[in-house]
Amino acid sequence: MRKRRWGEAGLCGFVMLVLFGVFSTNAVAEMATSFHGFFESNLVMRDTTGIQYGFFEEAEAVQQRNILKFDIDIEPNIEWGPIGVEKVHLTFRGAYDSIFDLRANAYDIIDSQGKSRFDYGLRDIRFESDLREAFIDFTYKGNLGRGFFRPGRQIVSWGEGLLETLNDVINPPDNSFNLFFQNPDDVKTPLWMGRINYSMPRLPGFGLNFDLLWIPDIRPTQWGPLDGVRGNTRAGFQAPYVSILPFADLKGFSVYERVPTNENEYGGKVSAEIGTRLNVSLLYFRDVVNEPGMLLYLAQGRAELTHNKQHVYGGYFSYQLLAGGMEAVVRGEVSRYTAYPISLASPSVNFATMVGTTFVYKPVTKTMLAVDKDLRLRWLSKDLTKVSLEWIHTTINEWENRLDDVYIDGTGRATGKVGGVTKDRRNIREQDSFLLQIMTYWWASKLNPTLLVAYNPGHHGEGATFMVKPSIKWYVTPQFYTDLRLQAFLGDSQASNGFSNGIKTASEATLRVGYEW
Amino acid sequence: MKLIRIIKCLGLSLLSMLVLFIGFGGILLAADLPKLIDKTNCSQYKDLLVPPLYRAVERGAWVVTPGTLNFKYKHTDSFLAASAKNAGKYDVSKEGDLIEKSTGKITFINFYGMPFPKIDRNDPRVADKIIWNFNYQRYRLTGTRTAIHIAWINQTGEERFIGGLDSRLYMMGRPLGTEIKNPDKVLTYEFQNTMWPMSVKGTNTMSYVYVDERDNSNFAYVPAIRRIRQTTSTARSDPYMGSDAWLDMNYMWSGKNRSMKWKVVGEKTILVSFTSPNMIPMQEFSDGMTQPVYPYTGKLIKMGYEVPGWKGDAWAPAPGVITYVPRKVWVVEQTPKDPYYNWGLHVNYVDQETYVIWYKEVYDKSGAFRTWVSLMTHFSESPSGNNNTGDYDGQLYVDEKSRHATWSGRFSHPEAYLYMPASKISPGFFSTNNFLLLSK
Repeated sequence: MRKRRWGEAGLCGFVMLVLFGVFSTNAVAEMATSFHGFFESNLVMRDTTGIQYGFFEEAEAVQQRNILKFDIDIEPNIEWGPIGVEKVHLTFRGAYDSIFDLRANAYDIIDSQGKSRFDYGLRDIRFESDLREAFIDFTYKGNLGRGFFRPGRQIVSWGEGLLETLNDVINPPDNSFNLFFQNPDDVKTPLWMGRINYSMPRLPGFGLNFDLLWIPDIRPTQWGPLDGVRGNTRAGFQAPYVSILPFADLKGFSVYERVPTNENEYGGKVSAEIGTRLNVSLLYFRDVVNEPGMLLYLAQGRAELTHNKQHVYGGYFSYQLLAGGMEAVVRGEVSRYTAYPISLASPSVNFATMVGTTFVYKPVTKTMLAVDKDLRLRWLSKDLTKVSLEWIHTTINEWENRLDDVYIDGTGRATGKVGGVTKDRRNIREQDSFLLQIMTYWWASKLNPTLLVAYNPGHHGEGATFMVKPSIKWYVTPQFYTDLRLQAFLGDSQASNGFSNGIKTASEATLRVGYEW
Repeated sequence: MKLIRIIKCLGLSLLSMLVLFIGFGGILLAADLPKLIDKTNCSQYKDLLVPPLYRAVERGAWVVTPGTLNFKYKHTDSFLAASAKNAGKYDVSKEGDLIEKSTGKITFINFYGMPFPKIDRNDPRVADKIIWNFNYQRYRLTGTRTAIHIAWINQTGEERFIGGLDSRLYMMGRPLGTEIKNPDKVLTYEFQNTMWPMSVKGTNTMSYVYVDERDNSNFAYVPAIRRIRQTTSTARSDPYMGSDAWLDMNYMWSGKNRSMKWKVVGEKTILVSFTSPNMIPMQEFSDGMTQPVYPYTGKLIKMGYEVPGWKGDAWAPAPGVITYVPRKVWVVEQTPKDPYYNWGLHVNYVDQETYVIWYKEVYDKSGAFRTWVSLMTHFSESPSGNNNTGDYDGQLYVDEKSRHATWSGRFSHPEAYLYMPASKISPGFFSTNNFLLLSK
C-alpha cells in the first residue's frame, strides 16, 4: 500500500511539473495562486471500559497524530473563447502518528506491511503522505450555459444526509485512523475520476444541472491493519481502530481484501431548481460496493473481503418552508441499493468447498427526512442556534429469516447472545435511526460548541443505543486553535444493533491544537 | 473712488464667501472644526457626532480627527443626469416595492439612475424613496468583485479572521445598453466565497434577491460534506459565522426594501469617515471595468490596538487614520416586518447628496441599543470619470453590549473589480455549476 501511495504522489508530482511547464509560458505572470492549510496535533484517549461504566476510569492513549494539510489553488486564467482553464487544485495531507512510537510495546505486534494493495500495515497508519486531491478545471462559459470538466483525484458527494450514507456512496470512507463520525471530508478516500458538471441557462423559475462521473479508480472502505494470523486465535487486530470493530472476531484467519479493480464506477445526477424554494435531484450510480461481504475459506484459514457491483438509484430534495411564519428547510432523500451485502446471523458453510459465506446480497432501501431550523435560544447563545434533525429508515427489501437469529431468553427478552456467543450481526428488517445536530457560537465566535446525537431505538425488546458527540473549538488567536471533543457510546451494550459494539470499547476524548492559515 | 474700491473689494469678498459657503459648505464647516475632537471638547460638537460615536468619544474610547477633502465626493454627472430623467416615472407601492407610476406595477424593466432625483420631505413615502435611491446608486456599479477581510476584534486586538471574494451582479440600474436578460426577475445576485483560513475555506454562500415579493433563494456550500445546502432567509440577519456582522448589512443594507418599514425622522449634519483626504486614481480597462485601490497597505486600516499606549477601544481607528468631514444626512428608521428577523429598529444616516448610508444604529428586538455600524471609504476616479462613490473600504460593526467589534472591509487584490461588464460576470456565474466550481 505504501508503495502505491508514494507512486501516486510521484505521479501527481509529475502532473504538477507538467502543469507548471504548460502554464509557465506567457500566462504565468497572470496566475493567481492561493496557499492555505493547517498543522494540527492531537491526543486521543480511549475509555477502555465504556463511559457509562465510569467516566474514563480506565483509559489509554490510542492516537497522537500530527497532521499537515494544505491546499494549493492556481488560477491560470487561460481562455480560448468560451473554453478556459479555471483552476488547478492540489490538496496534500501528511501525517505522523507518534503513538506507535510512544506506546511501541502496545503496538509493535502489528504487521508493518499489508498483504495486498488495500490491506494496510503499521506503516500506513503510522505515516501518511498523500496528495489527496489533484485536479484541473476546464470550463465552458457560453451561450449554452456553464460547465466544467474536472479530471483528477477528487471527492464528490451526493445527497442531503448529514451522517448516514444514502446516496453518498462515491468516495469510500477511510476508517483506518478514525471512525465514521469524524469530519466527513477527512474520512473520505479521494478517487481518480473524471467529472463533468453542466448548468443549462436558466429558464424562468427553473434551472437544471447535470453531474456525470466516471471512476476507474476502485477502492473499498479502508480499514486499519487486519493482520490476523492463520491458526493463531490470539494474534492480530491490535491496531487502535481495528480492535474496536467486529473484525476482531476473525482472529485465527488471515484476512485479505479482494477488490475488483478492473471494474469502473459511473453515474449521473440531474438536479432541478424549481421556483425559488425547491431543489430536486435524481441520480443513478453503478457502484462497486464500498462495504465488504466476507467469505471464509475454512480449509486455508483465510478470510476474504469481497466487493460486488450494484445499482444505486436515488433522489433527494430540499424545500424552504415558509408556512405559518416558520422558516425552515425540509430535506429528504431516498436511495435504493440493488445488491447490498447483508451479514447473515450465522455463516452459511458449503462443506464441499469448505467456504463459509457470511452475507447475502439484498436490495435495500433507505429513506431520510430532515428539518433544519435556526432557533433563537437566547439562554444558549446570542447567535442563532442551528438545529438539524434527521430520521433515517432502512428497509431490507427481501427478507429471509436467516438474517436474524432472534433468541428469546427466559424473560421474553430477545438478547444479543445465543448460547453465550455474541450475535452482533443480526439484522432488523425495518430499522430507524435518528440524528440531532446542534451548533452555535459563544464568546463572539471564539468558542464554537456543537453537539451530535445519534440514536438507535431498540428492537426485539433490546434497549436503545446512542452516540453522543459534544465538542468545543476555541480560537485562541486568529490562527491558533484548540478543541476538545468527546464521543461517547451509550445504551444497551447487549443490543444486537446500533452502537452497541462501541459502548464498551470506543468512547474517546480528543484534544487538538492547531495552527491554520 | 477709494471708498467705492473698498466697497467693491468688500462686496467681492462677501460674494466669494457666499459662493464658497453655498458651494463648499462642508469644507467651510470642516475648517471651523478643531484638528481633534476627544473627550475634552466633544460636548461642543455633540450634534455632529452620531450618538454611539459621541458616547465613545465622551468616554475616551475614540477620537475624531476632522479634516478637509481634496475632492468633491459625488456621483458622476452622467449618473445624475440619468437620474434627473427618471423624475416622475416611479413610485413606491404600499408594500414598499418600486413601481412604475404609469401602471402601478412593480418595474421589471432596467433603468439607469436613481428613481427619485427629487426628494420631498413631506412625501409620505419619502423614506422608501430615499432607500430606493440608495439601492440604485449602488446598482450603477453593475457588477463587483471585492476582496474581503473580516476581522473579529475584542478589547485587546484581532482574535479571528476570515477572507475571500465577494461577487455581486446587479440586474437593475444598469447603464442603458448593458442590460442582461433577466427571466427570473432577479434584482441582485450575491456570492460570498470564503477562501481562508483553512478551517472555513469553501464555506460559501449564494443568494438571489428578487425584484418582486418572492423571498430570497439562499444556498450554502458546506465543505465538510461537500454539498450545496439550501438555507433560510433568516440567516441573512443571523450573525455571519458568529461575527457582529450579518449578510443584510453588506453595503449597510442589502436586504429587500419591502421587508422593512421605513420612516424619515430628521435631517442633520454629521461627521462621516474617509480613509484618505485625497482622491486615489483607479485603473480602468478597455471594457470599462475598474480595479479599486485602497489608501492602506495590508488588509485593513490601522486600528487602535496597533498603537502603542492607546487607551481607547481596540477597534477604534487609530488617531489620524480617518478624516472626518461634515455631510448632510437624512435620518431614516427601518423596522423589520418579519417577527423572526434577528433585530429590531435600525437608524440609518443617509447622505443627502449621494445616498450613501454612513452610519447605522441597530437595536435588538427588546428595544435595547446593541450595535452601531460605521462605513468608511475613500474616493477613487477612473480616467473616464467613473468613481467608487457608494462603495466602501470597510464597515466597522461595534456591539456595545458585548464590547466587541467586527471589521468587514476591502483590500487591494488582483481579482477585485468594480463596473464588471456582463462578459465578466453574468447570471451564469451564480449557477449551481459555478457554485460547485468555486467551492471545492
